Amino acid sequence: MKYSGFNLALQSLFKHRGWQPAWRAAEPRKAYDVVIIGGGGHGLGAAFYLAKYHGITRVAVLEKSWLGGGNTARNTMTIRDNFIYPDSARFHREALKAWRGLSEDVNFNVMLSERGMTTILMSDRDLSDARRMINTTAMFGAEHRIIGVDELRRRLPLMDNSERFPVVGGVDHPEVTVARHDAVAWGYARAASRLGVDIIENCEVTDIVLDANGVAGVETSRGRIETRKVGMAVSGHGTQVAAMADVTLPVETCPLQAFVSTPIKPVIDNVVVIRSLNTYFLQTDKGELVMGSVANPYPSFSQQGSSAIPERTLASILQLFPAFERLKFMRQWAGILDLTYDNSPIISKTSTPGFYVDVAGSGGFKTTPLAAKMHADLIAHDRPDPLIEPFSLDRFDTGRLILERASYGNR
Amino acid sequence: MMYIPCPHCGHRNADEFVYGGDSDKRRPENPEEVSDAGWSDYIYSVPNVKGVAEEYWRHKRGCNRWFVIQRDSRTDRMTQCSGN
Repeated sequence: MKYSGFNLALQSLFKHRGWQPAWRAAEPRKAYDVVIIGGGGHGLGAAFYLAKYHGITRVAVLEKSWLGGGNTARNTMTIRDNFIYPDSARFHREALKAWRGLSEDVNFNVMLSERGMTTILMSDRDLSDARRMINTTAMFGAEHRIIGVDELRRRLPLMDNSERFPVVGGVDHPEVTVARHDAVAWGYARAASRLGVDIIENCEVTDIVLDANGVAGVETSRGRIETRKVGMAVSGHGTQVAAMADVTLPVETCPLQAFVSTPIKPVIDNVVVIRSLNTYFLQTDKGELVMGSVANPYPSFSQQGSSAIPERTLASILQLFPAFERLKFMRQWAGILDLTYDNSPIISKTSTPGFYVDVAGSGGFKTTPLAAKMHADLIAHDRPDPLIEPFSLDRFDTGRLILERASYGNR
Repeated sequence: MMYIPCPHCGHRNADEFVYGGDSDKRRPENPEEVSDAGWSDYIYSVPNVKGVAEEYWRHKRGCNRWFVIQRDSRTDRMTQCSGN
């Protein structure tokens, strides 16, 4: 049933008893044209676009626990395009634009809110880095601009001056957007399911079956499934899953943390980034402040993260925003990211025919619709779109890295 | 809070240490004979073990010495270490 004002009014006449589950709980079939491993935003999105744009509907999405329970649930919702290198600036610019119209596309409100971002600059180096970013991204149509201290103070009235790092200016990023992260997974799942995709939860892939022609199927906790094409869209366990297909990924698994305060009245309407101190925060629609920082300095699968990072992050934010001093924190979490050496994603074919990867987004929520679209296109045509060619796996052999420092995983 | 048992200084806060990567990794003996793919493997490939692995750590804000330690990457628990 379509979600619409009309159907809402209609259902209200029947006390809302007529709504159907958003997606079918499918049983695994014997064989599929394509199997997607990972039921997060990226995997469900890829399945949706395979069905929508490429007419491939014999698709299964295999998720080892519940939908959107990985990093789709563990991120800070921010969709930004302030990248430094042309390849990633172009890609993230397109990724930001790909969010527009997503709600209509999947007929599910992902609560897109173009609230903008403000970066606080505290040194000449910050300023010149910001100019470089602005010039690079302007080539692809982005609208970031430098703002002076006065305008910055008008936008962030709670900001104090820092004795140690005086504020020298800011950057206005008017197009930076936030979205309801869980809704992205649910919306894609529902839309894909309506197009005939099988979404199979609690189904862990235990092995990938290979023959002389490449991928021949997958072994799962719910039996064997035959397929010639597998798209991997997992985070945190990319190394382990790719190894099943005899592919070595140059990724390391690191926790990235965020923490959430108790809800307060609206105090900031932007995402705020403090560049020199490597921290950022935003206020959710519910009023909580969400704060985050850099990835852990050592790899780990623990989903915990070092306590030194929250300590440093909070100290940094309080230095500039002493008004938050008495806030209480409700929760802290860490998602585990697959990080590449160059902090750029890998959306690529691999040395195993029929095995494709969309991995290592280094905070890949922001690229979900575009990466999923490109992944689907790659699976359907077995060749990369020019937009994702630079993000191929063989860049680590050719040395053409995209050493992106604008990523939260930055090391 | 994670503590790391430095073989020289005892249990110290993890924030004092720097992670140094896989302790089995060796620079190729004859660099000129290694292929591009071989170098790529040496530079970028990490075992990324989910479980117990032996790693280098350095007590940067302490004795500043390197040591090898076993850590379980699922829990961050350090199990055994050796000096040098």
